[in-house]
Amino acid sequence: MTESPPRPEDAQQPATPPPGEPEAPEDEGLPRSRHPTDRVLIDRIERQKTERLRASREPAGSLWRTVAQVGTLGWLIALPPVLGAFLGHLIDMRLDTGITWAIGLLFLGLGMGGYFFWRTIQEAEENGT
Amino acid sequence: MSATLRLLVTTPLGEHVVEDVVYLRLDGPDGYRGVQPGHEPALTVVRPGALTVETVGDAPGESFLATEGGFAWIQAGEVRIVTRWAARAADLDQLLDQLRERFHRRAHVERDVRSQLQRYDAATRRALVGLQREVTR
Repeated sequence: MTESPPRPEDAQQPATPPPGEPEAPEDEGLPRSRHPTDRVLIDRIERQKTERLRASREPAGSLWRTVAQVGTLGWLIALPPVLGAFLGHLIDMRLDTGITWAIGLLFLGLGMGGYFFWRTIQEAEENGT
Repeated sequence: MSATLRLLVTTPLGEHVVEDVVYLRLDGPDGYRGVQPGHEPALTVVRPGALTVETVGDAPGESFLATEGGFAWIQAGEVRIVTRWAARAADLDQLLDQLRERFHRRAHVERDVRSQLQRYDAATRRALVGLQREVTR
């Protein structure tokens, strides 16, 4: 495979970046360079490698697991407010308090549903699924 | 219609040919694009990154082609990649090693050129100061 020699116009860049232009950060043991394309290229290929690793780790039948997960998410969001409203309605009937408990527990259920949803997504992201 | 593709990688210093390609994955501005034999003619931009090349024949298997970005010209039985620089390896780790090595080499060349320029600059200043002294004497 071929490789271009260092280009004179690249080599004669100033030692410090012009004002307003951020200097390339030094990370992963790579020295500072005036060749941003190299860094972009390395980052992209590392990302591609991670994607491939993740894809190879994914077990067979993951489609069904995804479907089940989506179903679970739906229940997680829908059930707490419905249960809250139902429970609140029963308490309201017993105590004769109008819709106070129903509304209160409905919103509590909504909040809990949102929290459960967020937690499930976080867990799925941590597991890389 | 041919059952395989011919991949031509054109850089300023020459051309690299990969025969018997059955699948090519390009990274374009609108996402990944798979190219198989019989693909409609097209011209697309290739983003910097690694292309996946699947071949059959003498060297069957998957390999990766890193480019600095460029253009891909898809024609009947042939895909031509025009780029400033390219490197090919059997896996991504090898490709990353090649890239890091190139990165370090170029950074060292840059450093040498910078220090040389600074030396020339200092020598020019000294000569100018000396000249000024001679003139004012």
